[in-house]
Amino acid sequence: MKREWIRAEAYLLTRRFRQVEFDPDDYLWVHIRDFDLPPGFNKRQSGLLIELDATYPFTAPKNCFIDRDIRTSSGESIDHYFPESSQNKFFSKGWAWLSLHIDNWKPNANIIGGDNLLRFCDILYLTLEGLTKQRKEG
Amino acid sequence: MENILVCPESKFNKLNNHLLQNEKEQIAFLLCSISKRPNQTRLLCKELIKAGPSHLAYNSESGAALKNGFFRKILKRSKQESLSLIICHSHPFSDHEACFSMIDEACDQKMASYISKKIPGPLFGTMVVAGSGNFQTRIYDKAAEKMVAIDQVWIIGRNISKYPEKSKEYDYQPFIRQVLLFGCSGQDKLADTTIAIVGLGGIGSLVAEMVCRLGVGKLIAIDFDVVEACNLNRLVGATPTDVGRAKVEVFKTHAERYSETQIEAICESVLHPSLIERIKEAQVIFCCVDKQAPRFFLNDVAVKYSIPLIDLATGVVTEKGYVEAGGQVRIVVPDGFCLSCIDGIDRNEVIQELLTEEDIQMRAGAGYIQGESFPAPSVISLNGVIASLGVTEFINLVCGIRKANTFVAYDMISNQVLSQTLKAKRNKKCLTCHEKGIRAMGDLIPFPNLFDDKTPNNIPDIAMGQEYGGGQDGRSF
Repeated sequence: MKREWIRAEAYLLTRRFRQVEFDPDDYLWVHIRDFDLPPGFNKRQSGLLIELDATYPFTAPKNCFIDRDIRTSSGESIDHYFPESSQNKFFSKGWAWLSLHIDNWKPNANIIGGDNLLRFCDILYLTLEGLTKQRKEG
Repeated sequence: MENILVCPESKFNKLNNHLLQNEKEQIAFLLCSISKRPNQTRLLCKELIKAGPSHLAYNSESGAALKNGFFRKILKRSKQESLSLIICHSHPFSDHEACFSMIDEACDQKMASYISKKIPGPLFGTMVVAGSGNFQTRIYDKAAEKMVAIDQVWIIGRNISKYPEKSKEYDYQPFIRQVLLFGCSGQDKLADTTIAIVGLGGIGSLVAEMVCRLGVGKLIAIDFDVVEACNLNRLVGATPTDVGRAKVEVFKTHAERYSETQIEAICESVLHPSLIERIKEAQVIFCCVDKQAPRFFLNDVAVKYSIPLIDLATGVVTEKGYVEAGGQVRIVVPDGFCLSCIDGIDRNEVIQELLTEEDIQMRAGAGYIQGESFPAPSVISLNGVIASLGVTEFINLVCGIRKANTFVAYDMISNQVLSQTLKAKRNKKCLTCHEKGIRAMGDLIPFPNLFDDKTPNNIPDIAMGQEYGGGQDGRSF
């Protein structure tokens, strides 16, 4: 059942992103290659790796990882972003961990009727946008 | 091999209403999944399909027949979805015990033999319902190549009704004071019930004590934990010499001194993949754990296998002189809400409890996990109230004194017990229990492995400048 769900979610993601792939074995990750970053970063796009628990979609995605060279456009590092090896289990694969805590994850029997990976991407975008604003205001 | 048909009460009532709507014979189908164990097969009723006037070739007071196309459609679904099929029809003219007619006898055997060859996986059965409401059910035994009676039909709502009821040679003397309330039939029902208690801690050991003293037939006690000195204020049967022993073993030793209940003690995490085969045996499950991941898992088990789940929990908050304390009993039955419908499982806690060692290290390295967590307060009297409320609803569920309340809350500060049964409703869009989800899917859908949740080792390696396009690492669109 999870298999069909992830496949459907990945298909849904392709409505917004051009390049989406998923874990074909255990359905434990989804990879978006062309995730748009909000204005204020040193890059326009990043890769995005979303790690899913065995309990997904009941629970929110467990971890998310983005490119390891992300900074603000003025060259500052961003909060809750961990490119170093000691804080990042996929360091050797080139990823940086971005800690994102999601409250009120409410999936629904109908994928588009409740929280899903597309909405997760929206939350991530807004969070990153907030982080650059904090930097500016700070 | 024992065969059981498990049917939610609402579906069974709808079936009866359809079959006995007038003086003419009617037809309906039950599509069922299977829950199989070495000595028992449970057919879990998943869907009721009623044959309306447009689906019938004819129906009269003495017979009814389906149009071929409609029957073929049902058989196709049975085959495609691996669902077992029970064809039900009525004998409205009969106001006595239901029995299959000679025509039924001849047709069923032939049809069963044909269908089981065409659709080898699922089972095939038939049911006849008399005008009196009495019914007979049988199933095709492939090995013996004949129809055999289904041993029992369980109709599960806020009461569990079993037909036919079983009674055995029984010494009522130890239970005589409660038999005055439940009657011998209530006591027989308790003796014919197998329950699982998951979590033999402060609440679970009290529940276990009560169900053993009530005289349930079998108790499957599951807890991976051992007794610690700080448990002795609330753990039934435990003494200082038990520190270090498995909680389930301590309880078993204690209960076997007074109880005839067969106790199976399993010292293992309920999330261990092998345990589902043990839990499936239960007719009622008590969830007495203080963690959310096992609660999530047991809710799935209840929904998938149509096994009533009695979830018990207490909570105490003490902050700067402010005290909030209480608890709740929530019962998941096939017709009602599941814990996910009522947001009764903390999703973030589920993630936290299932983190791998690597995830924990990653969070600790980033400063998100610091030091040890403090244990929550736990008092035997509060546990006792919640255990008693839960076991009282269990008695109502099994013995049928009244309909069980599916949501009972207790506030220790105001000393109030409130039934929230009418407020807690099933959410038809619930991810867990919606009709096309895992509801009554039995063995058809495997459980996710929550015991050793692993870190994937096939993630895209962007450090190596991996080219995109699925290939070895991923499936792409």
